[in-house]
Amino acid sequence: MTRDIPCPEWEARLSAYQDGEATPRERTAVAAHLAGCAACRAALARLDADRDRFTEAYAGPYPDVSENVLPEVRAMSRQQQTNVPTPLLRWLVGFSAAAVLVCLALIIAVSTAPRETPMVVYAPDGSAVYEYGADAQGSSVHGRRSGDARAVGHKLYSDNDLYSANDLVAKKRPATFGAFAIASPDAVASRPAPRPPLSDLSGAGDMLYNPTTGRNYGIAGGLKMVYDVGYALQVRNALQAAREGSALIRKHGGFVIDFTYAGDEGQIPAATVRGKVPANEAKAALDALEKMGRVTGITLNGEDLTPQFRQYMEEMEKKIKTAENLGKISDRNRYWETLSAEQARHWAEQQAAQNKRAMLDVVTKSSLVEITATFAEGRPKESFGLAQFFALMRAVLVTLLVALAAVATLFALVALIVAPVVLLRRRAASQEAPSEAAE
Amino acid sequence: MVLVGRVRRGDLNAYGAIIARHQGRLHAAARHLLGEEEAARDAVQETFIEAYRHLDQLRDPSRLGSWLYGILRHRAFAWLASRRPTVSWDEEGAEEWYRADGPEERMDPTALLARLPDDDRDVLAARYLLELSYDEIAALLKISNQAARVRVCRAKGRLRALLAGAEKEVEP
Repeated sequence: MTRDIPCPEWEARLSAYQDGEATPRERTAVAAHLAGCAACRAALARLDADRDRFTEAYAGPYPDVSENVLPEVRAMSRQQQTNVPTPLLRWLVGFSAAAVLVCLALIIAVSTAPRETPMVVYAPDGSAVYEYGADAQGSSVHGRRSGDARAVGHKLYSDNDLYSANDLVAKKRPATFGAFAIASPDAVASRPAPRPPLSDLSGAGDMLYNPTTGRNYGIAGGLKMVYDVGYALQVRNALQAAREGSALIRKHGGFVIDFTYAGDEGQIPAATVRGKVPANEAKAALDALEKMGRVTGITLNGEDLTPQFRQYMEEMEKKIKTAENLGKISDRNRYWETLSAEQARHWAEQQAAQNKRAMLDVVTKSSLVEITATFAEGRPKESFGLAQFFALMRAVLVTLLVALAAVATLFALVALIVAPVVLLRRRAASQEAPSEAAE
Repeated sequence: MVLVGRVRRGDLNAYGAIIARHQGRLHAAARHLLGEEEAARDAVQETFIEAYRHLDQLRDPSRLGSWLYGILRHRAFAWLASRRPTVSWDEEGAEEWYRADGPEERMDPTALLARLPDDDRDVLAARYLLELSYDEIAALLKISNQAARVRVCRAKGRLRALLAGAEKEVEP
C-alpha cells in the first residue's frame, strides 16, 4: 500500500501539478521526477482516482432551485426598483447631497468667520462721532495691526474719550461711556445723525462735559471764537500725524474738538484734527504744526491764503537759495562774503517768518484760536496686508463655493430628470419579466 | 460576466441562467459540507437569494463562482455551528466508523467523506467541486496563495488516508 505514497519532498508539487497550479519550472521538474519515480507516479494516479471518487460521490442529480429562487428574487427586484436607485443614480444623489452639504457647511463657516466689524461711537444726542473697524481680536484703533480708525464725517470730542471707547469695544460690548455710547452700525444707521453745532460754544460747553469723570474740558460758555486757522499738510502717515497734531494742541494748553480719519481702500488717507488753543500759544502751536509735513494750504477765518502763503514760501526759498549760493562761493573766497551769505540767509528766514506772522498776526487779538489741521498722505493707500489677503481669499472661496453649488444643483437636476426615466424603464422591464420567464 | 451585467440592469432571465449554470456545483458542495440533502437545498436557495440581494457587492463578475461559494460556505458553517459541536479529525475516529456502522452505510461514500474535518471539506469542495483556482481559494480563506497550496495538499492527503482506509475495510 505504501507504493502510492509520494516522496515527501514532492508531495506538495505533485498536488499543484495535478491541479494545474504548478509553475512552468515545477512542471518540468515534476515531469522529470515522475519519469524516474514509480511511487510518485502511483501517488499521482492515486490523487486522480481520489478526486474522481470524490466528485462522483456528489455527482447529483440535484433538484432545480430556480423555481423556488426566482419568484423570491422577482419580488425583491420589484421592491428594489421602488427603493434602491441604480448605481449611477445613487452616485448622483450622493454627490449632490454631499456637495450641497459641503457648500452649506463652508458658507456657514465663511459667514461666521471673524471679520472686521465696524462699530460706531456716538454721542448722547444721537450723532455718530466715530466709527472704526475692530479686527478679529476686537482690538481698538491703536496702530495698524488692529485696523485703523475709519469713517468719516463723524466727530470725536476728545482723544481721551476715543481711547476709552476703544477699550470698551475691545471688550466687545455695546456700552455707554461718559458722553459716548458705542453701538453697532445698524443702530446708528437708523438714527438721525445731526451735526452738533460746533461753532456754538454755549452748546460745546455741554458737549465737552464728561458725566463719568465729572470733568469739564475747561471751556467757558461765554468765550467768543474769533479766528480760525486752517492748515493742510502732506504727511507720510495721516492717522499718526493727526494723533500727533491733537497731542500738540493739548501740549499748547488747548483741546481737541474734532478728530476724523478716512483711510478707506482706494482713497488717499486723510485725517483732520480740529482744536482750540489759547491765543498766546497759537503761534508756537502753528510753528510746530508746520514742521509736521509739507504745508499745501492755509486758511484764515475761512479765507484761503494759500496763494499768499506760497508766495511767501517761494520768496523765502529763493532768498535762502541765493544765500546758500553765496555761501558756496564764499567757501572759496573771502571771509566777509561768507559772513554776508550767512547774514543774507538769516535775513531771508527772518523776513519770511515776519511775513507769515504779519499774516497771522491778527490771531493774537483773540482769546482762543481754532486750529484745523488736515493731514493727507501723498499717494493713495495701496497696502496689501494680511487683512486684504484674507478678504481676497474670502472672495475666492465664495466664488468657488458658488461654482460648486452650481455644479451640485446641475447634478441634482440631472438626477431628478434621470430618476423617473430609469424607474419607469425598470418597472417596464420587471413587468415584462414574468412573461419572458414563462417562455 | 455578461449575465451579471444583465441582472444588474434588471434582467431576471439572466439570473435564471446564472442559477442554471452554478446550482449543480453549489449543490454538490453544500451536500458535501452539510451532509444533509434538505439542508443543502435550503442553503443553495438561500445562497442565490442572498447573492441577488448583494449582487452590487460583486466587484469582479469573472469570480462569480467563488463569490457564490463564499456565500454558501458562510451559511453552511453557520448552520453547522448551530447544529453540532465541532468534531476534530482523528485517524482513529475514521477507523472506529468502519467498525461501528453497517455495510450499507459504508457503501455511501458521502457519509464516509463527511468524516473529513470542516477545513478539509471546505478546501476539497472549493478545489474539486467548484474547481476554484488556488488564487480564488486563497481569497476566500483570506490567506496567501502559498498557504492555499499547502491547505489543498493537506486536504488531499487526508482524503487519500480516508479512502485508503475505506478500501482496506471493504476489500477483505
